[in-house]
This record gives sequence, C-alpha cells and structure tokens, in this order.
Amino acid sequence: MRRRCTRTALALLFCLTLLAAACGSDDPAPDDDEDTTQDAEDPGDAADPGPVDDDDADDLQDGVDALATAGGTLTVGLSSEPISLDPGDGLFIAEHQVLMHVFDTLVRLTPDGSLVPGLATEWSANDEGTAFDFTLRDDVTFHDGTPFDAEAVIAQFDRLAATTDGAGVAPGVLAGYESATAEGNTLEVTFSESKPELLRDLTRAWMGIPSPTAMADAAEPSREPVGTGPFVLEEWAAQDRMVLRRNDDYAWGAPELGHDGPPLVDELVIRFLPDSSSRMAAFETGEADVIEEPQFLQVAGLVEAGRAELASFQAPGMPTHMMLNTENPPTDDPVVREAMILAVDTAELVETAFAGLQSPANNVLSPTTFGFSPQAAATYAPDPAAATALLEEAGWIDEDGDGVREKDGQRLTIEYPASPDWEGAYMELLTAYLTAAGFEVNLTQMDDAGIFEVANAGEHHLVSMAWISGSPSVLPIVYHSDNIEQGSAFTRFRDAELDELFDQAAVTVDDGQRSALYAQAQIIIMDNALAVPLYTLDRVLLLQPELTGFAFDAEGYAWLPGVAVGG
Amino acid sequence: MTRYFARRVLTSVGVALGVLVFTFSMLHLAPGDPVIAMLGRQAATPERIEALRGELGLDRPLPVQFADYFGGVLRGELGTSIQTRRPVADAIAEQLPSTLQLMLAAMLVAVVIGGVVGVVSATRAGSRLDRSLTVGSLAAVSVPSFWLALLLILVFAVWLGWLPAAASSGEVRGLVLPALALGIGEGAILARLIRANLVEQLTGPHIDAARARGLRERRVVGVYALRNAMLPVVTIIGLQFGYLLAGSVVIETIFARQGLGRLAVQAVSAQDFPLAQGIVLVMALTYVAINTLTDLTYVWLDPRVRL
Repeated sequence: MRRRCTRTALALLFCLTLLAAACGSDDPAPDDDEDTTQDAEDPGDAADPGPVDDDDADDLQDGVDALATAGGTLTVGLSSEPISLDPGDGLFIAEHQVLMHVFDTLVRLTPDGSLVPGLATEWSANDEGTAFDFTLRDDVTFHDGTPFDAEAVIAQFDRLAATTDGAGVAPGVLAGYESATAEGNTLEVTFSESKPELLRDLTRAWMGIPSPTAMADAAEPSREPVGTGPFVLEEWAAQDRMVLRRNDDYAWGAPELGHDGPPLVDELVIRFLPDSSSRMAAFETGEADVIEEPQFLQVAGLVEAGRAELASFQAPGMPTHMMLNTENPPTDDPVVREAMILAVDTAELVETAFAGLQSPANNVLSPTTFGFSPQAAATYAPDPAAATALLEEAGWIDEDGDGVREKDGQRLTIEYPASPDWEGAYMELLTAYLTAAGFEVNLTQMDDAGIFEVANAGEHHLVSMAWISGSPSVLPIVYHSDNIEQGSAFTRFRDAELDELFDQAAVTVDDGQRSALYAQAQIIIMDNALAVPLYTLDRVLLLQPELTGFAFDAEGYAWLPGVAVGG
Repeated sequence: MTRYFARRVLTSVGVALGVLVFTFSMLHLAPGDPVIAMLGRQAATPERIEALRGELGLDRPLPVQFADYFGGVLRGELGTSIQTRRPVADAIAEQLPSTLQLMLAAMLVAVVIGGVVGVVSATRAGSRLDRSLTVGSLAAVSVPSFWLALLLILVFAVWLGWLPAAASSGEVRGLVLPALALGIGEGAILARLIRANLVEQLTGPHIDAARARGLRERRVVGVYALRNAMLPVVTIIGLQFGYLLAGSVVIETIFARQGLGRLAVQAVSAQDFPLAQGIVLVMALTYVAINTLTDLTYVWLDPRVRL
C-alpha cells in the first residue's frame, strides 16, 4: 500500500510539473491579451463606481439594504501594510486606505471634484485665504464615546503644527498655522500665509480627526487609532491582518460616495498580501473579496470567465514620467529632449508592460487632477519616425554605424538610474525605445536612496517621478527652481516665468485663476520638453462578482461602507 | 554536564557578539539610507533628511552608535524600530511564534518524508521502487521552495480548494502548505542520507549477527541498523534548522504568514537597522539553542559520547 502511495505521489508531482509549465506558457501569449484587455479596459466597466449597471443599481441597492442585517465579513487584500495609523504620520497608500475608514475629515471631496460637508457642515475663507471658519457637526461621537467638538480639532491641529520631524504628510498641510480658536460649534483657523489648497488638502485621510482623550491616553498612538469613522479597529496583527468592526452609530458619511449610515458588513478584515501571486491565489480561492494590484496579465482571463469584476480609477496627481536633466549634455539640448518624448510609444508601452490596465500619459498632470491642461497634453504625440528625423536634422548622426548617434564627437549617451521596485515593469522597454532612436542608455539599477543621491548631484539624464495628489500643488515641489539644490527638482530647469506662475498659484484663492496659472505652468513644462510622460497611475482592483456597492473616493481609494458581500 | 553547558553558553555569547558586529557593519556600510526609505524619494529634501537623521541619532559616528546599541543589548533592550518606532522586542515577540511553528511543522514533514522514504529505499536497495524514489528525491531537492510553494497553492488551494492559500496565523489548516513547501526539500535530503547510512549499516557484521540470532527483521532494521544510521542524520537535522530559518523568509512572504523571515526582509529593505539587528540576533540565538539540543540528542542516541 505504502509503495503504491509513494509511486502515485511521485507521478502526481511530475504531472503537476508538466501542467504548471503548460499553464505558465499560456499567460504571456500576446494574441490572447490584446483581445481580452480591450474588454477589461472598457471605461463602462472601469470608471463606474459600482460594478453594477446604472439601470439596475437602484433595485439592487434596495435589495442590498434589505440584506444589510445579513452583515458578514468583507476581506480586502492589500499589497502593503500601514506603518502607522496615527493620521499625523500618514504617507503611504495603505495608510490612506485604512485611515479613511477609521477617521473622518472636516471636508470631503466628491469624485467630480467638489467639496462637500464632512465633520464640518459649512465653511468660509477670507479673501486672502489666510483665515478659515468652520461650523462643526454637534451629533458626532468618537469610537471611545468622547463627543466630537471644536476642541478635538484644535488639539489635533496644535499637535500637527508642533510636529517638526517624522515622514507624515499632515504637518506640511498646516504649514504657516498660527492658531485655532473655538466658539461653540464654530472654529476659526488662521495662517500666516495664503492657503488656497487648504480645503482640498483637508479632505485627505491624514487630516482625519482623532479622539483627544484616546490620543492623550495611548501608549502607542500609531497602533491605537480612535476616530469617528465607519469602522472601529479591533485587532492589528502585524504582517497578518487588521480586523475592523462596524461603527453602528455612524450617521455622518458619505452620501456623495453612494452610501450613508453604518457600513453594510459587520466586519472588515484587511489582509496584507505582499506577494502578487499569492494575492491572486487568495482572490481566486475566495479568501479575499477584493484585492489591489492584481497580476495584470491574468486579469482579463478572470473577468472574461465571470470570476472577477474589474474596478479601475485613474489617479489624480503626477503620472509616472521621466524628468529630463536640462543641465547635463546631451539632454541640455531641447531637441534631444523632444526626440526622447516622441520616441516612446506610450500606448504600446502600457499594453506591453501593464496589459493595458494603466493609461498612456501625455502631460505632467493626469486628466483627473484639478488644473489639468488639455493644451499641454496635446503638445506631443508619440512618433518614433519623427524622433529620428528630429535628431538627424539637429546633426545627431550615427556615423560609425554602431547604432549610437554622435554629434561633434559627443555620443548620444544618457544615464538612467532606475529603481527595479518601482520601474521594473517598464525600464527595459523604455530603454529599448530610446535605443531604437539611436540613444545609448546606461540603465543602472539602484534603490531610492541611491537614485536620490545621483539625481540630487545632477549626474543623471532621466529619472522617474510620480505622485498621487488631488491638487496640482505637487508640481512646484519638483519643477520650481527653488527646489533644485534643496529637493527633488531633478530637471534643474531655471525659468523665471515658470517660478512666478507657481508662486502666484500658491497664493491665488480663486479656483478659476489658480487653475489657469497651473495650466500655463504645464504648457511651459511641456513646451520645453522637460519630461517624458509614460502612464497615469491607475488604481486597479479585482472584486468578487457577487460584491455590490463598491465605490472609489475622489483619489481612487476604495470606499467600503456601501459594500455588501453576497452569498 | 555543567561544564559542557557553561562552555556552550560562552560560545553562544561569542556567536551573538560576532553576529552583532557583523550585521551592524553590513547594514551601516551598505549603500542606502533609512531616512530616504522613510520619506520616499519625492518628499525627501536635504533639510528634512538632516532633521530626521538627527532625531534618530543616525548622524553620530558609527562606533558611538554601535556602543550605544551594544550597551542596550546588554541591558536586554533591543532598541526601537526606525520605521514604526515600536520597541524591536515587541515586534519580534509578535512574529517569533509563527516562525517557530512553521519551522517545527516543516521539520516534522522533513523527518517523516525522510524517514519513510529513506528506510523503504534502503531495505529495498536496488529495486525499481528504490530507483524511482531516488529520482523523486533528487527532483525534490532540486526544486526551489518558492516554486514548490506556488505549485502547492495552485493545486491544493486554487484548483482543489482543500486548503487556504493565505491563511491567517493561528489557523492550523493554513500551516499545511507552507510546512510542505519548506519541508519537502529537506525531507528529500534526509531521505538520501538515511538511505545511504542504512544501506551501509545493513551490510555490517552486527546485523548479520542479529539476523543469525533469529531476531525479527523489523527489530533488526529498526533498532540495530537505524539507530546507528541516525547518528550523522541528527547532526544534519540540527543544521537543517538553519536552512529552514533562511527558507522561511521566502515561504512566509508567499503564504502571507506572520514571521521573522518576512519581518527581516522588510527591515533590511527599509534599512531599519535596530529591527534588522534584533532579528538577526534572535535568529542566531535560536540556531545556537537548536544545535545545543541536537548535541544532547546525540548523547542519548550514542552512549559512547560523554559530555
């Protein structure tokens, strides 16, 4: 008996080996992918906040509400784990994703970009944008029973303003903070500088308001978040999961995202699944109801087979683009930079590297960002032949026939420090496009710290950049010449007009005027060929087909209180 | 015995000190910067980097940092993680049980597979079964554990749906696939070793003598031959715990299990010096402890060995 078992086991092992090898070779077949990803990319599927058709949505929502008592557990698989759940420390996607479900913000942003009430019901600003009045809700309690009031906001703002270290985003939002004072349910916050982006910045989860009593008592504020949000953190087992319980009292959000009142599920479990193949496996076995960052090549197959719904959201902010060094020859020559932009076929790049699940970019802001300039986006259209012609015309000719162009004895060589963590999917492809146009690309793989060192010293020719943000105010951080020596302005481009536009925008309160200033800045950036846009950061999630009520918030984070689990 | 233990403890201290010095210098001399890892490339500015470095004490000379850290370790303090600002000891205490569980389960798999396959092969040496088991063991040794892990997930979780692909820690069912993925390769090594030793033992004069006295074959193999054959195997098992620790790094990531291996990867990639040093120290001490146990087993197996 034992003999037969061992033999069978051996046979099985060999069969599996063969099978796995056979399956493996199926996936990357280019023919399959092209057809199927067309469907997957269909904007009707992708941009819809819920995976259901509009016509049926109401009926379904009724049915879902009836099921609300059924509750159940919603399991979400994230690719990374929050480092801290103290909103003031928040920086990463995983942190935003969790913080937004535990905390509420004063103001919220709708997917179409308008501001709606959160913990504040009304607000106003003075003409200079230096003083803000908020009227706060008086019916909100924190998870620990502490009533929410103006003092809670003041305590948090004072705390953030006093934070001088750390990596969090929130302290920077309050730069120039002078004071906050309360009078009953109204709160006045004043700044020493103009804050045109403040209200929009306040909608991000790092600006959530924690319970002041919990903050005072917490031994480890980063692991004991107490907010007013739809879910209450119950357990956090590092490298394993978080368990969040429904906040039954939740009655202050978020109708603009399709669901108000307490969450439909009883329990939200967030699993940390760093390995993409096991994340996919956990989805396929049903252990996870929702996963982020699926393996792109497998998505189309699952969606076609009806085993997954795709939800995708084009994130606002700066798309992935290559910043070109304008001081280091040969990219100091605008013609060379323009040729680099033309040489990269972005549509083909997203198809090859991301199975079409990211979108080609053509500007330094993505179309979903406030202030996006369509005019700047229309400056170039990928055209490898035109790139070649441009270089030839400018005297860059491959005379010795080694495939690399030269001019006046100088070779068309560029230094590309790349991080395999972030750029692994496309760096070789990008190199191939440039090589085809007659560039010699020295691709050097290093970690973030190494890239920062090289780029800060100006030894690079191109370096990648991307930044998710609802506001265009991230642009000056990497394009204002003030930040060349003191930051991340890796193009090293000095232009008084561009700097002036950024300075103006920073103090312009009127949305229309500010938007026009940022639009002008994008036009200058693209006209001077400072960047090779590659692709917008589209957030891609897979949902189990029986799931209903899924929504993206304005920045593409998954909003889960409206989700009901089927079965 | 007491003297043996005193010597053992002294050696462990020496090993721990060596490990500390080595990991400290490796981590600090490697390129990269924990502060930039924390801030991200975009938001890093020289000013913020300086400020954070100062706050974390990373701007002090390396020998001072080491002396400070070493003093802490002597007082039983492993310091605070740079990234999460949690005490390193807490982070490790949270993850260690899961790794120990995985290692023991994998070792159980390895010993069962190694024992069964080894004895069956040896007692039927040269038969077709022996030859196919040999080929099978070779295949199992050659297969990398991460690939085996993916294969096991595909078959038993995705296709058959018998076991979870990424179970939460504490779920016993979730231990099966990781233990198999980690243990099968080591089991194959043990099988080869046991077979070779047992075949040699079975041709020895003491076996002929035992058989001549009419002892049952089961007793001959199980007691007279196997006990002797196991002596070198026990040493190997002790050493294999080291491989299992190393293998847990990959397996814990693939199965999304809690564990020290996965924490180590995260600590090293974030250049979280105190956390990485703490983990390596605990791993080294675990390894030393296990090998001490191995040596004690040796005494029990072989009365000729005295401590």
